[in-house]
Amino acid sequence: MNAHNGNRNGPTDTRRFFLPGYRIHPLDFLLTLGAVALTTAVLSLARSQLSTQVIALLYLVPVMLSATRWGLLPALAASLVSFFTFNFFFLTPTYTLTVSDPEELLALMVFLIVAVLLSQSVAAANMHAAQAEFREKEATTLYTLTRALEAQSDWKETLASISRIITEAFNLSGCEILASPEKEPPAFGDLSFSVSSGDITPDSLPKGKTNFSGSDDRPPEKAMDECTGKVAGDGLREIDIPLAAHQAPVGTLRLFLRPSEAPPGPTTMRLLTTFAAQVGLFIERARLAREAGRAQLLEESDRLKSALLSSVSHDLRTPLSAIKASATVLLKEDQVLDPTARQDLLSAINEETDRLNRLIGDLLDMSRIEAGALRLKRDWCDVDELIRAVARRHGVRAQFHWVPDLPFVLADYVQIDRVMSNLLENAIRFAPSQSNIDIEVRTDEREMTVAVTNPGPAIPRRLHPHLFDKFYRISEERSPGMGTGLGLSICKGIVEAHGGRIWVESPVTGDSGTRFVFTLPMVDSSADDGEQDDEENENSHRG
Amino acid sequence: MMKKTKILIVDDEPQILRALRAGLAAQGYEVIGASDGEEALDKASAEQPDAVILDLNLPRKSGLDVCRELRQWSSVPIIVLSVRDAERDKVTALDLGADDYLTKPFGTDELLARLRVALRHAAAKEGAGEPVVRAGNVTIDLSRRVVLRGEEVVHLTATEYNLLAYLAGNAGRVLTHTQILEHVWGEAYQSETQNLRVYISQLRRKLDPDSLQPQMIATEPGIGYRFLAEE
Repeated sequence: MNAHNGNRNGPTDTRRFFLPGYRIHPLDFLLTLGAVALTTAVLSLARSQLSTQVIALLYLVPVMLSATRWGLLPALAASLVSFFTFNFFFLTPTYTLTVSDPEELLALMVFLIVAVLLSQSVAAANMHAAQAEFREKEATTLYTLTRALEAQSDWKETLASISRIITEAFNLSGCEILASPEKEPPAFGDLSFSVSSGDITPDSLPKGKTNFSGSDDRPPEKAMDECTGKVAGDGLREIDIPLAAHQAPVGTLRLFLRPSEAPPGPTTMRLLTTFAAQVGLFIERARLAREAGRAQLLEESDRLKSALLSSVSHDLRTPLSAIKASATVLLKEDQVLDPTARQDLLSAINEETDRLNRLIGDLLDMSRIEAGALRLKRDWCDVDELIRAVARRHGVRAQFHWVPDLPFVLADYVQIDRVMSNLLENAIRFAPSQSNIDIEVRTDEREMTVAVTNPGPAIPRRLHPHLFDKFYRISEERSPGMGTGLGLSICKGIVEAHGGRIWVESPVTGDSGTRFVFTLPMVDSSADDGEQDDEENENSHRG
Repeated sequence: MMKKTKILIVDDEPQILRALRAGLAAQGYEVIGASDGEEALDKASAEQPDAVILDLNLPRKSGLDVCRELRQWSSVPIIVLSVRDAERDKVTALDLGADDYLTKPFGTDELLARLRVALRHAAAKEGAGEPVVRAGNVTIDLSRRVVLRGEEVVHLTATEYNLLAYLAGNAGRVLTHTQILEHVWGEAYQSETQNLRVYISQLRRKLDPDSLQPQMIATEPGIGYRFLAEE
């Protein structure tokens, strides 16, 4: 009876729920009886040619068949029935249950003992085989699950595939994993969702079933006791297993049983609980990983922000300091200022006010670009005219290199003017005085390329990646005409908003010269964006 | 003709240099300018200025480094300028031996006042120093170790007196927490700022008991204290 005790599913379980268990099925007994009857019939026909010993041996066939096919109890039944039919039909006096020949009585007794032992050992062997198979399947399923949990893919996908694995492994109608809303959702949003597999779609669930957060407040142990099967509204039987990580509920594993299935037994429940624990930990891990990622991002952006803030405060206060110092000198009455010094101080105030204004303008532009609030008013632009106008305004000695009749490009005139101005100012700043600045324009079907080249000293290659960073200055030296450190990052923002690129080439010839190049798409690659912008512009006009 | 007082101004902002040069020249000072750390050290050794006005944020060599190197061979008064909000830099500069600090933007009057205090203090160090310091109705006689409020003698403990004497002896200058603790209590007590606060508040109670606004010992937030004497 070892085998029977080993089968912890108990007689109420059915084989179909994963562990091949012990079935008590009337059909098995009928088949057993049939097999015994058939054997009796065949033996009756061949009675004259068979000795009692051979008949006893042949009666072991239905017993063995029952033990192999239908398990211990049918086999024992077969043994008992065979015992009686053997006695009744084949032992003298026939058609009675008495035995006259002591030898035949011995044969009958030996038969019963052998039949019962045979039933037991065959059934036990079968049970062991089934259990081994079950363990193997369990191990395989757990392995598959672990593999799925460790897969470095999106965690929702992972949970979806786990839901599929569970549905298949337990031959379910469906399975749902519900990650409950977090008690204190972080500022970046709650991580709650549900994945399902099998025949179940969230829509097919009865109303209110997806609202699981309330039931998750139960402590996991208590909830464990409650997770016996209950019948959902439409006849689907469902089982909820709470998902917990470190005693805290994180969600629910909901199983939908096929209508024909019995509820799972303790072994299956144990396995399901193991699954649930793994899934619970996985959800928690995913949440923590996500939080950690966010925290890191926030920290990084905090660091950048404070660096930016100190840079901005320095850049704003420096011209203010010069203005304040000059003004307070001028205000002092008990002193003699010579007219040149006075003029000097006044022009310092004037220049620094301009610089402050330029810086504030650049800061506003930069924050607009960064906030994505830069609205391009795209129109067909004559780049030829635009470049000449900018050069004239800056009083630049520039050489223009482009073919006549440049095609128009769809761009925001004011913003591209801004880019050209910044690049030209930059070029003037770094070019030796009295030298020429070259402006080249080339076009092909895809894009227009504009290059501004100054013959000044080259910019070391290692600095190139930083040139478009905010507040990045090549030189630490300060001069009244110096830039705000924002010009190139504004250029980059504007050009990229147009769908173009901007980069630097240096040195240009030999070991000197610096060339800034930007492109504007010729084809309207961002037609959708354009429409959207138009709409937004309309909206803003209306507003 | 009397030799003009020579001031070295170190700032990488040409406009600030220009304004300060004009402002100080109008007050009768002789002004030398330098726009980076290296130049500052060169000019300081070549010109032997009577005081240095030093921006902390300098190219090539930081103001803190200039301060440190300058102090190795010179006791010229140094007034530090900074736009930084970080109090730490100012404290570091003061601990390195700078005499005072000003946060940009500042008015020229303020700079001139600080400059006068620094120059006077430097002169006093060479001579006997001022034996009697007055602030409000309080008289501190450093040679006789007597503190009077009006005609009345104020009774101070030894530590309270040492603290007051150190502050009053450096009247007009900012003294960092570390400097005060080191001087009055000793090197081992550098970090006991809380203790210092207690003594300062006791001193204030004994010296200006009626005043809600501390008039004699001014707090420089995050940096230290400054004794405000009558000029």
